Amino acid sequence: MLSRITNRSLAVGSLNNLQASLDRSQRLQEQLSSGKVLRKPSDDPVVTNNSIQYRTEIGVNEQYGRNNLDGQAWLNTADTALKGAVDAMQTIRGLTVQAASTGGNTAESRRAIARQIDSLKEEVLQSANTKYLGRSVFAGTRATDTAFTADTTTTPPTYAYAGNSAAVARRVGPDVDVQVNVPGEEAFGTAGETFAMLTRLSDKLKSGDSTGIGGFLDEIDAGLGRLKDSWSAVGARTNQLTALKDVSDTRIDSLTDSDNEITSVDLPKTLIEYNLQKVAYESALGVTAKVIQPTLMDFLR
Amino acid sequence: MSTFSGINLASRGLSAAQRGMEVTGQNIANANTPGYTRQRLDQTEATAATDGLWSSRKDVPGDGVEITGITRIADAFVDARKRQDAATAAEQRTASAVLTQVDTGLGEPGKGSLTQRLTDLYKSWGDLGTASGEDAAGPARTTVMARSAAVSDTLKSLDTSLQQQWGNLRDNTSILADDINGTAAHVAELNLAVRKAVNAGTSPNELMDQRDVYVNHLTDLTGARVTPGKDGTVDVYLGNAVLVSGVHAEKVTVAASAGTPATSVEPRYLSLDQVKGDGGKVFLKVGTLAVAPDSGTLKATLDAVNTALPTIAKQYDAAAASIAKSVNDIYNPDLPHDPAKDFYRVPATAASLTTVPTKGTDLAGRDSAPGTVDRSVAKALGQLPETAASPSRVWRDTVTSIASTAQAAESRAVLAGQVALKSDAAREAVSGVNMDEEMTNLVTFQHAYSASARVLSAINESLDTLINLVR
Repeated sequence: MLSRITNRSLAVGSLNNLQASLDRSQRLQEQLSSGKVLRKPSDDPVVTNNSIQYRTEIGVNEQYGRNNLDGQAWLNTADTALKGAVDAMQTIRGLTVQAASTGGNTAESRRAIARQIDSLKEEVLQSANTKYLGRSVFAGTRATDTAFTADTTTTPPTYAYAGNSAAVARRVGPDVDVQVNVPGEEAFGTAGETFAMLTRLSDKLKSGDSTGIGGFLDEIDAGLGRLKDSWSAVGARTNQLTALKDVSDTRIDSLTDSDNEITSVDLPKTLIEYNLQKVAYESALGVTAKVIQPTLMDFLR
Repeated sequence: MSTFSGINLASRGLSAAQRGMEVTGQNIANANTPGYTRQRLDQTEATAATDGLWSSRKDVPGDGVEITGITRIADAFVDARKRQDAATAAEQRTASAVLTQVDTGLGEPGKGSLTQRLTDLYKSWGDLGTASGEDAAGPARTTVMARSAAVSDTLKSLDTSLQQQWGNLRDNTSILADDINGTAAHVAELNLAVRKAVNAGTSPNELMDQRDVYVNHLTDLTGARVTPGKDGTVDVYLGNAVLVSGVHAEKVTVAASAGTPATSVEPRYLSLDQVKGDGGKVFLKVGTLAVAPDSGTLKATLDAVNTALPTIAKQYDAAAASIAKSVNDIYNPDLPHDPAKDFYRVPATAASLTTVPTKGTDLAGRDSAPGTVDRSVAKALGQLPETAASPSRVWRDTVTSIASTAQAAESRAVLAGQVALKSDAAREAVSGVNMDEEMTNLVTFQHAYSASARVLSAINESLDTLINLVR
């Protein structure tokens, strides 16, 4: 049966279609002005789900980056400290070679060298007790003011390690923990062997006994070797962290891109859709105006 | 056969055409009246008398036209379908509006969302995990406490807005019940008026239209069923109870119960918590009989109060409990478990997620061994989002579930709206006024009138001729 069309059903039908068209326009307009595809989660639960996942992961990677920078700062502190210690030890080695040479060295000049070595030893000790943000970098995980303690009440002074050999690690990637500390005993010898050895050297020089000074050179080289090993480990870890920082930064960029991809408005596409919608709406208005106007009345005289 | 019978015949023609124009006028005048049903003049040819003193003969025509009544053109089946579809559309619209409000309030994914607050919390734990000396750890602990409070506050505000929405809907049921009672009373009054009109033999058409407007409102609210009664009246059934029976209307009341065994409660004192955990519910009563509306706004409102919103509230509670558990499992792993050393008090509801430590310094000493500062606990908490127990994952599931439900409700509402439009159009096709048709009828009746007048004047002229002939 052909259904009867009445003027009111025409008007109501047109009005509903216009409303639907306006609703679509409004949706596009909101997307354009907010720059976001989603007005609320139910607009697309899948996109919402993914976006939440991306944002959580971005947060995780941002934290990797922060941990990484903190690790690098820690390593830089250790790097500077070890460089200072290596420089001091090399100077000490030069002085020892000088003191070991028999010609032209008086007891007086050896004592002078001993005093120089004493002050250089203090420099190395200071390096060993370097702090990063109030924490001893060579003390492992131990909460202590200084990594190495010097007990000067005894003669000769005794040295002790107050830290432990535990690793201080930074989480810089998924399941990637990088150790950022060098345990003090690795760099400065068990129980501060380097300091004890330097004390013995200085005492030897002060005693005026010139024999066996050359024997200390091997011990100095051993101490220097420990420092250099630690120093290169620090350098290698810094490189590792720098590389991993790039990884987490790239990950953040790609996650942000993915998030934008799904939640942000594709401007050209939406603009074109909006214009199409506008054209459709205007033509609907035009047609409606023509359709609902005429009745038989217009043609009866 | 009388000499003047032709005049009578012409007069009937004139009055029928005139009545026809009046009915057309009524249709045109009400073309845009909501609920108006178009009317048609029923007429039939009057037969000449066949017996009695003046019985007619074969050479006598009928006695002109006779008006038998004015019919209201409606199709009961189409009307019933229209009512039913409109009720379903109203129900789905309300259900969708309820869920959309919850859904929009989540603010996901966005700067103010719980996801963002949780991410900030992990970061603050991570920062505490890397804090080297006490100088860095102190501020980091304060940040952890502030960010934890932000998580609690966000959950609390989500819960509070849910409570408010639920309270509004609970109160809405009473407002809707008042609306139903008022409308049912109108239906009963108009039923009475229709019955009087029918008994008096006058046209009840306009009264029926007015009554149907009220009946449609009743079905929009409750999905009530409508059956025709005697003398043009209708009966309205709500669930298994009679709401309007002829000229009598029953009263609908809103009731509530809670607890086991269920005891009755004043509806406005019922709380969301009671519905959530204590078997509380809001329901309708007609007289003493508990009834459930079939569809309509009221059904959607009752469903939201009894099911939809309590379900969401439970999801919030579960999310809060899961956040508390995953943090506590790392923060206080020692057995036997001592709740006093937890980070979060295990919450009863989403609104009651609070921390056991009250200030940053309470967090101190969380390391694997005394005297060390490996900050293993804070570090592990910073890595929480990487684990399977990630609170973000639980919350994401909650959001996705709410969003999917809201999306489904919205598409159901759109579909039901379109179906309702179609059945409204079907009703309009039967009962609506078409101007072209009315104009055509008007012209037809106008011509009929002119022609009847012409017949009268022809008879008049011939009688005139006859009378003048005699003179």
